[in-house]
Amino acid sequence: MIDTSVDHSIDPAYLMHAMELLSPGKAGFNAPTLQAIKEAQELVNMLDKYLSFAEPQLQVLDQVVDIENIDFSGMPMAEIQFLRKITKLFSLVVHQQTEADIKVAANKWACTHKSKIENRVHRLLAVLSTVDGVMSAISDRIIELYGDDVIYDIEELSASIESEAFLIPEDISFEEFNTLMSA
Amino acid sequence: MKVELSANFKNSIYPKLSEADKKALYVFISYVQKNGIENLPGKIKPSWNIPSRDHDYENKVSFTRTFNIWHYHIGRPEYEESLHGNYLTSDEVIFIKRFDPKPNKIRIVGWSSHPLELPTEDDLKTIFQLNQSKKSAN
Repeated sequence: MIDTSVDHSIDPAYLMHAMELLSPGKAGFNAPTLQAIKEAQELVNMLDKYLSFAEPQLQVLDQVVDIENIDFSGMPMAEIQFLRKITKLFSLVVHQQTEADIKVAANKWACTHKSKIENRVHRLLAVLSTVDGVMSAISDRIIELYGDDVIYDIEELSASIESEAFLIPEDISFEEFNTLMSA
Repeated sequence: MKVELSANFKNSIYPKLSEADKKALYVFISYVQKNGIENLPGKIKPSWNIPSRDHDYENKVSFTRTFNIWHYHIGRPEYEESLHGNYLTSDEVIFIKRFDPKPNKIRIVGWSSHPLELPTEDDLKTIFQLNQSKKSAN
């Protein structure tokens, strides 16, 4: 479990720097800078909380692999859904580590899920994805908290995410299909 | 049902298919996305029904069972009715990996004519999984 006596927050200077790098409106930031930073910080803290809850589940991910099968009983549905998404996003953050990949993932979820919390994820990742130092910090943080074994488990999980690159979209024409396949 | 492709299928097999093969594949994928793998026009069966005379019988059965590999008669170059007229078969088949019971998807992993040549374990993998294998090996 997470040691709550330790400050797990990411240095706000990283986030401030990230905000400076973002072009206005690009990530959907309408709130004042400080408010956005505060929200991002809250989300990072929430992430720690959820990951501490998920730790026992993550330990058995190599057997379960499919996160849909994990027992989240006792946890509100909205939080479960959030945890599922953030776990997937986390694995992308840890393993892809390119701004483009993270933004694609974040945008995808932000476009298809409009709930407030997912928008916050989108906004946070938009910030994080601009600063390499933050990405490394998150990666290091997961290793520190859960060790290499859990990272491996998350890699297993993210295999299904990565495969989405070759997931065939529905309702496309043969020409579109062929173009996609030839890309 | 979702349909995805292994890295090998997309990068090595698909480019070598004829236009007619590609169209047959497209028809199959579109059908499965809407209807799942029930009531397909061609025959679909688990690939572990290996002829007992096969020299590598045990390995093939073990491999196909372990990875839940099935094959579907894709209708290339043409469909033929079975002896009893209850299903359609063709010389060429595609191999699919099923993920029963969840998630609701299949992965297309191979294409072969008869006698069937099974995909290898690496052929089943996504590009991510291939990269992980390389990492582990290093």
